[in-house]
Amino acid sequence: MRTHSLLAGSLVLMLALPGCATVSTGLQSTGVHVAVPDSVKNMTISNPLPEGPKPIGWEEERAIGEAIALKAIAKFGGLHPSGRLQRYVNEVGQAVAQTSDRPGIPYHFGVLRDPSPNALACPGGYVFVTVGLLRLVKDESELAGILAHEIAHVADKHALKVIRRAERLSSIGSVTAEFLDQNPEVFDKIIEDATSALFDKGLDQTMETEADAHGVDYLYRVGYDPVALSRVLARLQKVSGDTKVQLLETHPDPRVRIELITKRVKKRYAEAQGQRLATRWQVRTGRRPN
Amino acid sequence: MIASRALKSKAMKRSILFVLLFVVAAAAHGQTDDVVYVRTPNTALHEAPSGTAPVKTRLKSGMVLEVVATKDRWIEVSCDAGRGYVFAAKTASEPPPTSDPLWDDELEDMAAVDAPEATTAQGIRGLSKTANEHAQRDADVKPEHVQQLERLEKVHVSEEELDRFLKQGRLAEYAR
Repeated sequence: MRTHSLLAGSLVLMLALPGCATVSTGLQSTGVHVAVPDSVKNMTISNPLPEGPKPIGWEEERAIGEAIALKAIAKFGGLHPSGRLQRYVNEVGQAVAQTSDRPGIPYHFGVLRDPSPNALACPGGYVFVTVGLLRLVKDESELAGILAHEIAHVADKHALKVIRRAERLSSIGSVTAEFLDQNPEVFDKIIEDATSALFDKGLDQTMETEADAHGVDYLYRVGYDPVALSRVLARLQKVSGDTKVQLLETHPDPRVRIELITKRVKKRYAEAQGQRLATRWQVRTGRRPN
Repeated sequence: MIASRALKSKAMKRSILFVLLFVVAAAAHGQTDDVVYVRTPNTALHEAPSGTAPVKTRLKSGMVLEVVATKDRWIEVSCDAGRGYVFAAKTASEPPPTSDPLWDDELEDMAAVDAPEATTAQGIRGLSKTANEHAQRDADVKPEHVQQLERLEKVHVSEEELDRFLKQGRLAEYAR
């Protein structure tokens, strides 16, 4: 009897060891409370689905990402007209994405004309950075640091998790491409809520912290200076002063972020001598060192 | 006294059994350390641990590689395609998510028709029907925004271009 208990205990122990896939699923969103707008709660659905949250698949993620990307382009002044600049940002972004935790999807990196410093990631691999934020960048590793943070949001499916939570609480259940096509009002609400979270309210602070940590890892893997993002954050804090900057409103305090990044690099990558590539940044963007 | 010894003996046996089971569990778990999975689609299998070493073949994401040895940021591996070296950052200890499109298959199809885009890491695609219809319903989104997104999707960094970019910057497998 006791031996059976011990065996059972040991099996539990085996399952609890890190890396065993059997315990990793279904726990990440347990017990999270998110307020759902009344408009979504009271919505009429033409073709209701059975209850129960399911992961959002790639086709659905892509459609949601495209719709949010269009909203971002519309809201932040459109894409910058320089093809050379867009290309360079894409090269840096692809370099980071290929060693990210999710390299198996196509990524698209765009520079938006908005003069306020900002950056955002949409599901489906759409990543944007504003001209205002690029003005604070002094070398290629810093641009890579910004993009790595945003790629981490995509890789960790942060926006999708926000959408899925709202889905479940409003009894919509899961979404499929067919369902979205048949229920455009549901798709519109998903996009409305997601853009509100991404553009105005911001994601959970824990998600931002996670993206900072994973962003550091990605920079190290590809060989850029892993602490690069902290320099941009310090500059952002300095130039913003008392001005209200959306990026600071939707993210944790830059001082806290800088401390986290510095600690992670010190703990994991103390020996790293990553590239900064200030000259290539100046040559490819035409920007002179300030 | 005898009862006390018997109890102690039982407790000891239990402890030993527990430790043994733990060791077995840990050993079973430790087996995964001997293999890694290709994380980045189309990862190069090099003849030597250097980005400039000849490429023996390209590996699909999700492929299982047996670890022979590790050296700095390189792993010597053995797999169906032979033995060679992969850049460690392009592998993972767990298989990549199966829900992602995994562009390897698409790359292979494109390579079969000898298209110049065959080596790209990106897909070229139009907007999905759902997003297109949403754009038409959304008063904020103008036709020029749709055109801009479509133009952005066509910005195309081929595998050779990305490789050259990494080499020039001494990044990834070209780091010193």
